[in-house]
Amino acid sequence: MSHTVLVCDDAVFMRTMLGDILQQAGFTIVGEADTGARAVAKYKELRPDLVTMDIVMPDMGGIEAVREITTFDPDARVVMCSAMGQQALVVEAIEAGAKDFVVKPFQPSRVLDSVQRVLG
Amino acid sequence: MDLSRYVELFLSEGREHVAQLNAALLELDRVPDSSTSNAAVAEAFRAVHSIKGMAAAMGYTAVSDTAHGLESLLDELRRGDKRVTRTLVEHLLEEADALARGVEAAVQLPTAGTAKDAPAVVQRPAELDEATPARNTHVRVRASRLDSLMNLVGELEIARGRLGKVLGQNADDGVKAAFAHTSRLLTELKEEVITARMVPVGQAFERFPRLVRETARTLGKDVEFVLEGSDIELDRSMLDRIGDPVMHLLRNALDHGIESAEKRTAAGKDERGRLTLSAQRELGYVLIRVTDDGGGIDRTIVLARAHTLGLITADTEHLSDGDLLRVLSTPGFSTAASVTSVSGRGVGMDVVDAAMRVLGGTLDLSTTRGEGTAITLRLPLTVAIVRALIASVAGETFAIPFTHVHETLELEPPASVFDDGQWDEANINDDIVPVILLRRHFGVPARFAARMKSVTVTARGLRAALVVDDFLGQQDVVVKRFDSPKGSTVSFAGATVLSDGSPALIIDVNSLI
Repeated sequence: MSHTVLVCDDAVFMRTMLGDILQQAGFTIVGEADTGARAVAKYKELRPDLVTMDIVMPDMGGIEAVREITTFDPDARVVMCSAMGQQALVVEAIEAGAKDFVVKPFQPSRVLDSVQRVLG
Repeated sequence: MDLSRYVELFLSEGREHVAQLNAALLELDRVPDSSTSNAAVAEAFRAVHSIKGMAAAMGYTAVSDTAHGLESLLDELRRGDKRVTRTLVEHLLEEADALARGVEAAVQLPTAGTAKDAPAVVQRPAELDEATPARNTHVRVRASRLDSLMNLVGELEIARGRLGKVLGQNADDGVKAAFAHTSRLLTELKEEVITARMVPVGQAFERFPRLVRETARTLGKDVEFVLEGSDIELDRSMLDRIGDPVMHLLRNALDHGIESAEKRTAAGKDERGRLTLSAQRELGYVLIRVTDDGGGIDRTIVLARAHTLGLITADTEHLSDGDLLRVLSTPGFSTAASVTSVSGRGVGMDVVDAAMRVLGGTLDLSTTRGEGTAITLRLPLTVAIVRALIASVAGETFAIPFTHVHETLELEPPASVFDDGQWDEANINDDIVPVILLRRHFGVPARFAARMKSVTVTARGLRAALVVDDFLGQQDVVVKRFDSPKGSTVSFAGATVLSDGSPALIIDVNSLI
């Protein structure tokens, strides 16, 4: 069975593009979230194998969401999606429990590398 | 990676984020120093950040650079390194404009991996939906799809009516029950389709705060702009077409309605003018209202001008709100150069009036000298289907939209009518109301009886009684629009097919009165 993924980003555009990259590589997108709060709720509901998490989102940012998700499930596998120049935030996200990060704009190979690595 | 398929999505979402950015910046301008300003900065930051990410992904470097600059500025505000000032907000708004232009221009560029042909339609959302069992997901649908869906529902409605007629004569209980069930489902389907076409009016209102702000500044006036009821929903196609009329009304209110600060102070008013744009649901209608607390319309000046132009009878001494609206909506009146200096409006009111006619809506005005003016657009929820009164006149069937219908009644013509055929007005509940004999209006000789079926209608604040041959009932009719032939004296708002399959013309009450 293919791995299930929850894609979290406040832009439909980004969710679509990231979803395409992952789906073409054989992943199943089981859910999407456009706010940090929804990401946490969806994680609890869907229990996906993997979460991609944007950092800047309304109603609870991505870092806070990672913190809540890993508190709920210490084995949760979250990959942060950050923009250039957000290194400090990426460090904070890793400390909060994220397993890896990719930098926007997405390069499909870079995204897949990261995801495979996190899924082990 | 073929990026061309994301172009449309980039544009539509980019526009949304630009609108959010503008709204947040204006909020910042309104309350430069309070706790809400932090929220506004955060909101603006997120919008810019999203655009930056999307533009970078598409390879639109110019856009992502502009966004990056704006983002840095907002970040400084967020951290408290910079303070919100008028000048800064001004600068941010200019940058937001540049960003908006950038977004629009970028999609004209060829994208990486694009073939020479036009950008492909984004197919993703539908597929994505299948793969997403999660509830409350959204799918972007082309507006034209919804239009054809609505059209089909309308056709189904007509087919249902015909079927009902046929079945009525060959009654079989099982068939009747099945027909009743189908009818109920069809009604539900129609409601669902109408609902799917609804969008919050706020989407059309978004650009107004900006416009009002700039117009007020150009005019050197200090005006507080209030938006109310942005979440009220209206048919998408309707919404697309009320933008310009509303803009007209706002400009008029700013230019001619709200007085200069000196005049306001002299009149004992708050120096700052107040302009409100509100939306409100009322039964099957949505009311869009533009209210200002300005000087009101000067009836004396309008009256004098209306006399000069021969728009009213010479003995008219007072203009009611309805008269005023009618005079101001006269095309010749509104374009007369001298009127622009009148403290009333009247500039382009004919444009607003015409738009209302197309949409099957009505216009209402109320003004008080020294206190202000309110103009209300009363719109049906959807343009595609209207509830109408069906009447017959000289063997033909006509539909009168319920937006205009006041009441049906039987009128007694004066005895003299049998001699000279003159019948111009009737006394209805102590009101003198003009009478329109539809037969005569359609060029057919009138016929008189002791009691005659009539319907009182209102449009542009005026009332009239339409005399028909008979009433055939009421029905939801699907409007097929067409333009009346040039030079024809009677205007119709469109045509429809009734449930018995026969065609009927929809009477344009606005043009009749």
